[in-house]
Amino acid sequence: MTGRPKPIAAGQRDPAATPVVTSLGLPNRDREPQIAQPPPPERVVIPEPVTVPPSPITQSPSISIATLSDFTTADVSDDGSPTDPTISDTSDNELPIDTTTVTQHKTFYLEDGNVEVLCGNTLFRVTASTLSLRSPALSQMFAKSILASAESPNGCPRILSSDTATDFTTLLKMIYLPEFVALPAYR
Amino acid sequence: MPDFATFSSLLRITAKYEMPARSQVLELVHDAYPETFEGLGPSKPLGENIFSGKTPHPNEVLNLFVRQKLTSALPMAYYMAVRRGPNSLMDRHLPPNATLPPEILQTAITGLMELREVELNETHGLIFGPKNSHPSSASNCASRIRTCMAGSSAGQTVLRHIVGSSRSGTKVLEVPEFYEDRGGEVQCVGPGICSGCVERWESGHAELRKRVWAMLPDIFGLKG
Repeated sequence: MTGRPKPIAAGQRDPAATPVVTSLGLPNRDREPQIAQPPPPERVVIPEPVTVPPSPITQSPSISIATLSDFTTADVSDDGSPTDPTISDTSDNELPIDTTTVTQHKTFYLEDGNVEVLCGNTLFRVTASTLSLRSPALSQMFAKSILASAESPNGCPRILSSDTATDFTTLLKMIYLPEFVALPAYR
Repeated sequence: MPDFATFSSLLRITAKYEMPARSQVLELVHDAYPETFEGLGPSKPLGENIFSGKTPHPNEVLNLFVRQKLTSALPMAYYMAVRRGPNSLMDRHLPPNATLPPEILQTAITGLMELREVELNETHGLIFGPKNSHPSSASNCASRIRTCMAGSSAGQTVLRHIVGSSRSGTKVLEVPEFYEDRGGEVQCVGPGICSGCVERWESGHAELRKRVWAMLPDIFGLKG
């Protein structure tokens, strides 16, 4: 029992002395690449470099590193309905990349997509017009001139992204499955 | 609130692709990393504690905010990192994302030292009064700590309780507990200290927190 004011929540003399160790083993998603290998030429054709206009808030290009483990968690059922309200495909268990294998993303290799995006060794197929509507940078990424010059190993243009598969998945969830992201409403 | 990994992704992609949703993403941390002193609510979760799932190490949050240039959130992010002390800032066992690059580490360590100095000096002044001054307590107050041996000892106890050890970092922005529960009875941590003195200290510490908050941008080299 105490009638005295409590310390602020952030400040509860936490176990401060006890460093939080729960994040040990977190992946290195922000660091520069340790491995940067181009995909094998017979499977992955790198078109003209995709340039994205500089953002006012700059961000160094991330690495095309992703792992199969990112996408083995079924967070979306076959019919596309969410099975878990949280996004579970973090790269916490990233493994060394086998760049000889390109794997279609379990959820975002859309049958009716018209452009492929390769992030690391994960292949997405999306609808360019849907993504283009969301930002000028995406619109430029999927510009007709860029798509026209891209190789089309699977019958539709394929472009190479510098995003990690995890980041690109989050982008697609924002667009296709916004309920996963739970952003606050505009104020 | 999403987990930290998702939040990081959202920050990166909304910046890279200049998406309007960035403002919504920033809203997610607006309350937990307030820009103003008034934002330091006494009962709401602050800092890295807001993320669902695994709580990220504050260094990891700081790294992300610096990279993403979340200027308004940086004072609080630095504070959350330094409040755990030097061992946490320089922990070699942390994953790369939570390891501070040299320039950020230097800023953080320098800031911690400065905060610690302010915390020690100001709290000492609060309890024992300004140098060369007489305690203003009532004559029967045990808190006449500069002239009374027992009072001085009690004051030292309070001081140690409030500021802790340097290894544990700083808690200068946090509301101190001057009372503790001793076998069901709530007493001041300094034996014999009167409630009037404690009230004076509480009020003085509130002013101190406000001053320190205003100093954070300077302390962490975020001005200009």
